[in-house]
Amino acid sequence: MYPRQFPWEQIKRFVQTGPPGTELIRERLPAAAAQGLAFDTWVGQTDHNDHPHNIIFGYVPNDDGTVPVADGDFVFLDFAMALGWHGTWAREGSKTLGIAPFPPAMDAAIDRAILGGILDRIENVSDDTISEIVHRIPDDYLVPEHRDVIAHGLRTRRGNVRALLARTS
Amino acid sequence: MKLGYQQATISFCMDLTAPDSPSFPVANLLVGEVDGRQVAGVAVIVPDSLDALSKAVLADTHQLIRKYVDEAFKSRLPKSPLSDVLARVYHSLRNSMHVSVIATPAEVEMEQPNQVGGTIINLLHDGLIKALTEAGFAVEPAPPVQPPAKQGWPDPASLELPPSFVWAPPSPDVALAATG
Repeated sequence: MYPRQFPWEQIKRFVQTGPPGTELIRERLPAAAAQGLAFDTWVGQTDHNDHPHNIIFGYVPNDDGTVPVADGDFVFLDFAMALGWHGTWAREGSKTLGIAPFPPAMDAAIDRAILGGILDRIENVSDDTISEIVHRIPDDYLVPEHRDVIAHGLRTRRGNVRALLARTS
Repeated sequence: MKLGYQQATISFCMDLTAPDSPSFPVANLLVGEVDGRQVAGVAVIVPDSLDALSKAVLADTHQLIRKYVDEAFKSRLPKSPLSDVLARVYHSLRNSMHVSVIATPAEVEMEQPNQVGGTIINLLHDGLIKALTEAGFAVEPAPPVQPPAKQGWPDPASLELPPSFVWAPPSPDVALAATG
């Protein structure tokens, strides 16, 4: 969390141009869009479309005034509709990939070089790492059979994101 | 004629990472009904002392609030309370800008239809002054004693109340209206 945050609805008009003080939004957008698209496609996130609240821009205002914003970035929220929610990853359903829906202005800004690096990192996530992360969720919140479906889905999809996204570049 | 209305205060949190961070009012919103017509208004104040990005976002508050209010009125069941419209705004502002107060519903009598706009503007003006006063700001001109300065808050001397923005929100969708 950042000291100041505004949702996509309030900052999307600044992604192409804007008054002084809004520069960091445009500076951070290409990398954030690349990271978000690759990750969302991998985990099957479907709720970052032109949603007013699930993408926010957070930042640290600079009190000494030398630059408008000291630090900041896009933050992607609410992954409830991901990881095969509603049973879509069961019975090998995770093998069916779709490109994560993103706001058009974010799609248009994707930095393809950064996207390649993110795909490298996704493909190099080990089975052990996936298993360790998924098993952090206690049984009371994620029953074992669903946990296995998620871990299997992440392993299955890991190597297929690049080919899917390459069709759109 | 009678204007039934409900108001809300929209505030700005200086630091979402600090539990004791101050918030201060940046807008007052009114939604109401008079003679079967829906009315709404919002008065916004953009403190000079805020950072440039916050000011750029706040400068568009009229349009943002109007969008939320119009959407809520369009999907509102005819006999549902005005608080349903304010609830839509409440749930839409979840970050630095947030709804800090929803006042109780109220009514005011007017003699002429042409008093509606002025009445709403006065209510918005009074609502914003009340919220700023309760937050510790001196809004009246030339107060003899300034309130103690609070770190990170706007300079009270910079506060100038801008004109209000009043409009007639759309009616409920036809299908919804038929259910009423």
